[in-house]
Amino acid sequence: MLNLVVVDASGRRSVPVPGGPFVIGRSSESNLQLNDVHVSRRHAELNQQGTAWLIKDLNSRGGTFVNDVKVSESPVKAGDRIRLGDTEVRVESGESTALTTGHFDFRQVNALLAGLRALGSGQVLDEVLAIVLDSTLELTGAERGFILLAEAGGQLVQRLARTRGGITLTSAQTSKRIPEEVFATGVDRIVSDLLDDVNASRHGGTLALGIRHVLCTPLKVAQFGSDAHGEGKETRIGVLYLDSREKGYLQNAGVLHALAAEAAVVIENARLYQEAVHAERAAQELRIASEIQRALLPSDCFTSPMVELVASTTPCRAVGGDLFDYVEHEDGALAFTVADVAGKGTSAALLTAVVQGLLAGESDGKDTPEQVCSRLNRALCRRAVASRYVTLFYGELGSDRTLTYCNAGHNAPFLVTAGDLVRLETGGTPVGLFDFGQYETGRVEVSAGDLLVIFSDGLTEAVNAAGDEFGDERLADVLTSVRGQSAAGALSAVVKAVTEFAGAEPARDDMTIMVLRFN
Amino acid sequence: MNISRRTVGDVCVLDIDGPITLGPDSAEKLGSTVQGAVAGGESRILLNLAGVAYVDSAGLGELVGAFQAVKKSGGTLKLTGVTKKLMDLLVITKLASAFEMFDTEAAAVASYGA
Repeated sequence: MLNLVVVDASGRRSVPVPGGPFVIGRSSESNLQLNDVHVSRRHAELNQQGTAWLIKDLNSRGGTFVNDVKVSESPVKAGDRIRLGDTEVRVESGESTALTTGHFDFRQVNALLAGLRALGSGQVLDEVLAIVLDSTLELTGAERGFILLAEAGGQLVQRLARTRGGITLTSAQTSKRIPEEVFATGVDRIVSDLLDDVNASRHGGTLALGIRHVLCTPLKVAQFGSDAHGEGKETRIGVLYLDSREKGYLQNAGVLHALAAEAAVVIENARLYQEAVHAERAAQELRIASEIQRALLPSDCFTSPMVELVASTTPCRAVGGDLFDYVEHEDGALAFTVADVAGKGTSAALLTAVVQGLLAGESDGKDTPEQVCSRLNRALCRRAVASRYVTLFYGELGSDRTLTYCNAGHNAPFLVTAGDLVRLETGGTPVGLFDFGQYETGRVEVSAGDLLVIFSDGLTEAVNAAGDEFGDERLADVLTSVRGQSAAGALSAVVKAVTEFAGAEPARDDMTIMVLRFN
Repeated sequence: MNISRRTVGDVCVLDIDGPITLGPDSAEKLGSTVQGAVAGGESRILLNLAGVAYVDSAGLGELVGAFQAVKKSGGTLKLTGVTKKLMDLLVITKLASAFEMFDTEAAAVASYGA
């Protein structure tokens, strides 16, 4: 067997000559098609005579030259140069060409993969795909290589296309049909000539590129465990697809299978590793989000001549949908709020930040609580996210000890006075639900020593192992017992009670408590 | 959560069975079922919530969303079979007055008038 190394307008390639007659010419019918206008359509022909090879000029216009000597017929051997038109073809020994010149040990890739892992590269999969394709092209002599991998839904997606010389092809496509067939059946497809294929009409797009020879093999990895017959199960992760304008590359299917098996393992390792890296990155992003969210909250305690305020919020996930905030106005009045965004986790946290921003813009102390809630409601309805809403309690303590407030669909806070527990309910529906929502301001005079306890439903809906909820009554009992205490004392008593009640049961919702004690 | 649909007179009754909570098989399903009924020309829709033991915040949002979708199309969505737990939630959130609620299905159907 001979091997021809060609450089022409189509690039450098190595073409095996399995046997004669092997026609070289500009025609697409040739065994080796040269992209050179000075080459005749059928220019020359190689034939085998025993172990020797002969080249014969087929009455070409420009003639055929062997080592710069024009010939009509001449023996050729490894090392000879054949010139046809402006194109030079170098003759090489074809003895197991692929394996001797291009042998590539995929164990090296695994070693490389280990190195990339050590570097923590998130691009591991892309790198590995490129290595696999480049070495496959070198090994097989094909012109273009593609790797298509199955997505979670089983859909094959082209992940990388490369041509010789390590060049990534950005717009190259495989035949659509062949990879899907191979992936579905797990059986190789080798199409030596698309024109001869029964489905030639379906390969129009590929044929238009001059591609006529396709080789496609599944990428399979063995799964742990085996079935009743003791045979390991295999999972197909994708296909390796090679094509070329020349016939006759990679005659040995065994080599291809060995290669595909090694490649599949390497690709799967890289893919698993990359997924782990991405999961870790997502966790890191959440940690950052969690820190930012905590940083957005004001300090969890505040004291002024009028009031002692303490608050605590505990998200049940990394980030939460509850928030508390407060701001002291110039005249000494204090505005404060506890809000609960419907839902939990990241999506709720994003809306929480929006609410916090909108409230920050409101807190100049000039508007009544009902005006603040109305405006917040309209602002949220304009940015409507389906089925997303916010319950909140917004209060203002005036310098005259009048507490005005608006309760927008929030659990009614408790006002713990010397002789009574009062629920503060006046307000309206949750904000962000109805753009026509109406809000009212409630008003109550507070006395020195009174406690105002505002909480989110994560507190009263905390459950114990028996599935019972903490509930308003237990909370009322605790509050009765802390009457007259400091805000910090009341807060820790409530937290202690609910923690003991829930025991080992995990929190299902974010939990927020704010306690104010009036001086 | 399961939803079965039947017609009583000219009222489209949706029997909801199971908690209405965040997720495609629950809250979102309620929303899409009601919207499907509206798109199919129903204007009198009654949700029978007798089989609903629990509604979370997403479920409540979806109930309101359904209410508004029906209202926007010129129809009316009413409730029957509201459990105590759901009623508490509707009272806390002051949504109890937004919904028309009936103790019995017959009373609800009759309320739509001829």
